[in-house]
Amino acid sequence: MKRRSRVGYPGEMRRSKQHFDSQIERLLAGGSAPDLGNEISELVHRLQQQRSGNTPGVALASALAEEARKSESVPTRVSSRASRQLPTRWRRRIMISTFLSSLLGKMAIGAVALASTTGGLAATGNLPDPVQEWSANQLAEIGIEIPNPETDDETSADVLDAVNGGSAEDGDEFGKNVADVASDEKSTEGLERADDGADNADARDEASEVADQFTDGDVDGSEVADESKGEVELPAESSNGAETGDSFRP
Amino acid sequence: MPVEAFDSILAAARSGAEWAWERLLNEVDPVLRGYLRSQGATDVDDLAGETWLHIARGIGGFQGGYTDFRSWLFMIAHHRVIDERRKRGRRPVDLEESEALERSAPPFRSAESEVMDVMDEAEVERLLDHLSVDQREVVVLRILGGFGISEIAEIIGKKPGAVQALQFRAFRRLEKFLEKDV
Repeated sequence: MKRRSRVGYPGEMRRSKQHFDSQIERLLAGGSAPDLGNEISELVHRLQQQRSGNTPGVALASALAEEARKSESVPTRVSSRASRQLPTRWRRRIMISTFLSSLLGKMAIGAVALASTTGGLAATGNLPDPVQEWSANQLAEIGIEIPNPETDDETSADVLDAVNGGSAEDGDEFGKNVADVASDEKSTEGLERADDGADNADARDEASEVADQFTDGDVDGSEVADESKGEVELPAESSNGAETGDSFRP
Repeated sequence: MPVEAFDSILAAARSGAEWAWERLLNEVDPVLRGYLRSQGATDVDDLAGETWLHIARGIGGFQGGYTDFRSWLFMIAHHRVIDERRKRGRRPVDLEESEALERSAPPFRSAESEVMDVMDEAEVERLLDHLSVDQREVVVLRILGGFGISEIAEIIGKKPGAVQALQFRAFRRLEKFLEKDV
């Protein structure tokens, strides 16, 4: 077949992609496409004929049939679309990532973050009183207890009132509670114990002083023994003050 | 292929009937091999076999008609071609092989002889070599495979508008080279 000269393109409109495609479609259907060049038409016809003449062997058909029988027991979801051929694990990942990147996904993430923050604040009782009270009432209905400003016996406001309510004239300028603690029986008992402690400390000081004198050798043991005879009952073997005094002499 | 005929062939192929696979092979395999060869596949038999094996493994879950089946088959083939190109890119060049190819290549022909002769297979190949990989694939799938724009878009993973543009540019380029030859 000889080549013929190409027919030109009279108008620019004919050069549009859609028009071009429709011309190709006509050629493929076996018709003529006058707007395409003769060479292009010939190329299309030649390309259409470029099918492989080799017929596949029966062995391949047999192998494919065997493979299909094997895979029939484990059905997979496959269709013409590439997305449907993906494994379930990847489809799920794609779905999750698509959801998270969407506006709805972002809103959902924000809502979860807000809910967890509010929940944490409510659980520790750090929300404003009206909100805390409402949250506590709502959660109490489902059996969850969180701090409730309405039912709590002692709140920081009460303590502040008690402290600020006292006056110097009444002797409770540091607060009624402080004054009460200061004047109750326990504090009196504590004072008595403190006095006993002071007495014990004095006696310890005196004993220490005597011990120092003994150590220096300035005190006669017999004098001390005589002095102590009238006040302290000594055991029988140590009734002789001189002996005791001698033993102390360095 | 009629819809009813394809449905019965598909059902038989799923259950492992050899005659059904033979029918499918006879119907589609020549076009598949033509496509693979035009894409520059070095081992056409190997790639075609791999493609069909993939089909046999997944046919149990396939849903669709004959056109969908062909699209699915060529989509797998398209991916196999890409894989082979990547492998070839990593593989060192075999000098003996390239020299042998050079020797077997047809000699350069003058424009005059080209005008007088018919356009043979080698010449078609030479013309297609002027196209980019994407343009070449679109042209082959459109002409040899007989696919529509939307089907090609599905096979090669591009938008229909992009495929149409590739086709337009490819044929315009081919025209340019043909004009030069004439």
